[in-house]
Amino acid sequence: MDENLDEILTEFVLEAAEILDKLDLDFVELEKNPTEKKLIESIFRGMHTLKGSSGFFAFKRLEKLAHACETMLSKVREDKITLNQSMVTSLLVSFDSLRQIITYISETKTEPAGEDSAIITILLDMAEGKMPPADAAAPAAPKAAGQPAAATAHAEHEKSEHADEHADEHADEHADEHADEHADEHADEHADEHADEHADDHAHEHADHEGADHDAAAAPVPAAKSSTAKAAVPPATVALSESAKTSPGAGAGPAGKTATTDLAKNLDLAAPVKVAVDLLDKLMNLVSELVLARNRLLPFVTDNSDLNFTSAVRTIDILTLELQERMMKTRMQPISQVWSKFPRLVRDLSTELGKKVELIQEGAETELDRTLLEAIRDPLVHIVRNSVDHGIESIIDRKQANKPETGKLLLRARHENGMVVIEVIDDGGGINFERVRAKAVEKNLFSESKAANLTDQELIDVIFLPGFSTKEAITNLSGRGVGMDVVKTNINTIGGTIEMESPRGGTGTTIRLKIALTLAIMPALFVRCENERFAIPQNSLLEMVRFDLAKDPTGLEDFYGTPVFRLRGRLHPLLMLNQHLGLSDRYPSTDSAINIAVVQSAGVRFGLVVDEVLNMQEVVVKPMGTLFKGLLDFAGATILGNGRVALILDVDGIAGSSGLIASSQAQRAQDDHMLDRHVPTTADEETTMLLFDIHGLGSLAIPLEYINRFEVFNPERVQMNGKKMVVSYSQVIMPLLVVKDFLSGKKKQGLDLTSSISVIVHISNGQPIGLVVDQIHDIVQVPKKLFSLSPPQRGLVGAALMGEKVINVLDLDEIMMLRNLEDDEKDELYPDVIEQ
Amino acid sequence: MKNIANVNGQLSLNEGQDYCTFHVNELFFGIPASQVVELSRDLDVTLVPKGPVSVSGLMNLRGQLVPAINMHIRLGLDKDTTPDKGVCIILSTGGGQVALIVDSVGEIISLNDNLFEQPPNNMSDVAREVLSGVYKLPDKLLLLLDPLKIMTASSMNLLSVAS
Repeated sequence: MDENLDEILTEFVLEAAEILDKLDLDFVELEKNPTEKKLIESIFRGMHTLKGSSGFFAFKRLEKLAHACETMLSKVREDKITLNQSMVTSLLVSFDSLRQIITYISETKTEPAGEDSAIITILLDMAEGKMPPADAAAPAAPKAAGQPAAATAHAEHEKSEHADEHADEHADEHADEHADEHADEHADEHADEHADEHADDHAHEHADHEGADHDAAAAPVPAAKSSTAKAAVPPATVALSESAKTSPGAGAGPAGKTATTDLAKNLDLAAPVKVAVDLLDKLMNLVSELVLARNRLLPFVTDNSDLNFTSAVRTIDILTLELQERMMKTRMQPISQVWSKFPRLVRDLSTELGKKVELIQEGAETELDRTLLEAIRDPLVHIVRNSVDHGIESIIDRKQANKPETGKLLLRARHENGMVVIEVIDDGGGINFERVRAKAVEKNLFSESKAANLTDQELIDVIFLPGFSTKEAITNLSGRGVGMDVVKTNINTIGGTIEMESPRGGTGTTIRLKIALTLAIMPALFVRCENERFAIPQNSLLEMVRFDLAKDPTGLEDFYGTPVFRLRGRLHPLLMLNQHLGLSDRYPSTDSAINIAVVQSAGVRFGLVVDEVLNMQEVVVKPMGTLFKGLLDFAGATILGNGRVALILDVDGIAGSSGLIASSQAQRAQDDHMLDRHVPTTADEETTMLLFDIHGLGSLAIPLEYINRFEVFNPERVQMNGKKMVVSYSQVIMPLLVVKDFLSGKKKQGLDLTSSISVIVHISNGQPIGLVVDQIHDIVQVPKKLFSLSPPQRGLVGAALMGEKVINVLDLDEIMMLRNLEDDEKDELYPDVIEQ
Repeated sequence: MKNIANVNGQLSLNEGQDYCTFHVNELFFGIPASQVVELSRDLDVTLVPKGPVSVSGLMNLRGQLVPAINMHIRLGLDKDTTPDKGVCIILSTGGGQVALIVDSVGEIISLNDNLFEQPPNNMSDVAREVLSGVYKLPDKLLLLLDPLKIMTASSMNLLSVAS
């Protein structure tokens, strides 16, 4: 029994939310067209339904408030008063309280305590000063609520009123049906309206009286009412000729007609079935499997000449495709679900800011996956807020710029290459690039000289950095500093991209989101790396490049320890996928051709070097499970046509775990952090060092001022000069110095010439010396205060603490000295005393 | 669930419990038969680079991704990373399905609780984590594995260092 009631209550809350959403739209529309009968009608009905069902649950506060709104609206409907701005505002205020109450109900199943008498009085006053029945109704209701004994009687009455409503609806429907049959539907409707009105008014009066004396008067009222409602049907046809004459303007006729037929059609089409989302997900999964199973079946067709068999497979093929498409549709919802909140949002914002903004929506029917829709809701709200707050100028500014007073905000959505493109376009002042530049310097994101050279596009990228916000005064709308970076992160997590355009000249800004239709299936490029197959999601893939190192004049170049290559004049860092995933240490030889997948993560473009490019295929993304939770490099796995599992690379994760995006962004984040806490600059206590690894010796560091460049050499470039290993380096011969040979605890091993060699170039007396290390990591801030080592170790100055981590700082001077001694064959003077 | 409770000695039923037995190296193990979904000789495992050392990779079990655990490494017996022969025991645990790669599978035996004993205190940490006890068989000992612990215990979370 209780459970049953809960269910009904849930339904009520859902229904109420739907009504409120619809009212939201209607109100904003109403403000533009205060005379639009249809809208008032629609709002009135919404309020009426709300009142009716809240009465059923004895939610007195809700009922009273809805009733007050209804009372006022009924006056508007009867043309006794005309709606003005203040009326709409107070309607909106009460409407907000209604929403609050319903939210509270949905959480606690009870009504919140409180009084709305202030707003109710205003509403009722507006509904023509002192309306006796309304006045009577207001005090009467609380009394009824106060007496528990009255509750049953009241509930009963409400039930009957509910029933009335059904009768009402029935009458409506019936009238509509008639309308379809009869040519002049408008007249019909008009009559219906009248009938309805009468019925309703009767009901209110009865209800009010009943509320006052709460006698068991429930029975006569519904009887009376339903008879009125039923009676409304025949007069509808009779009224045909009469209202045709009196119909207010012939133009309104056709408009009213299409609106009603549309409504009827929508109702027919909608008739939705509620299905649990996880059931849908399971079905979706099964269909995905079916698609894969079909893929396994298809190759047999080519090997088999049996016609019956091939035609059966073809049929399965077609059916599967159809099934997949339909299944996808079940998860798709129109973007209008998110957009429907925006008219109200824009209205409130622009009123508050004293701006005039017109919101235009294009392509609201564009569909995308349910989960994605949820994910873009907040980012879109933020963007729209930004556009109204920062984008569109104040009325005065707009006049000065010779623009119409009312700013335009265009929301546009469309499908494009399997992606949904959502644009938010305003015709405001555009981005103030100089202010962005100044702010970038002020926020310590860039040095002044560097900021001066930033292009417009780069300045736009600055806007997406964490902690950036140009608005001087922090309004309660935007400008809290959590801005576009959060939007960007959110969009990126669902595999989408965001871009911004703002031509100089103040013609406005365009923000464009590109989002994959669905998360479950996505196109991906398969590549081979060593013996494994990996899939690269297409949305992060920019292009494929085959790079012939032998023919290219520059080949692979080294830029601070990172291999890079030039693509159309731009340097792209390279990541050897085999090395990154730890599959092998192989480094491409200078005469080979390499396949590079150019990918993009967080605005950083880089190349992934793979062994072979295979094919493009749609993959079903499956989570890898909890055991692989910490792995950033993979977005998931998929099952191939042959039944094998292939891993899907996560380009963002790879960029992060390889340090391609983390180092620069972490640096900025760190800067922000310092700004927040007003920590003095690092210069006093910290020094910048390069962190590198020597296997078996842990993390080592060397002060940055000793370092000229980083290089990675192919072992083939190493040549012998007497006993010493050298490489030719920018026209001079650079000796190589294997750092681990000079450190305590390491026996001389010489150089491992099977894999690539990481070299730190140090210039000593104008002569470059290459320090060979195992792996170069990152540039870090290390406290200047070093712990001395006891006993002292050869080649080390001391150790620094970075968090919990011990960093050994190299003593380059000593190493250089040792090297010179070695030159003189006096190595034995420094025996390895401290062997570990 | 019932089995786990039983193993821990909290429940004492008179009828015996069924255990699926298998060999890893020379050791004889048992696992509650009710949690065994199936046995498979299909060892098509896709390597997951940088994943936990004891996880060989992912397998496809009728459209489900199932992690395959190399029991040699999981139990700390040796460092053989490429199991090319063996049998997969596919288990259904609370944390999802998991495949254990073992040397060979024995028969299913029914055991009575009075043969059960708790593991000794001086057992190694890894073994202590995954073994819930031992059954004294007439000729040898049957080590009882806790399926859930195999997947969740802390020794699992050691991610291999990229080497």
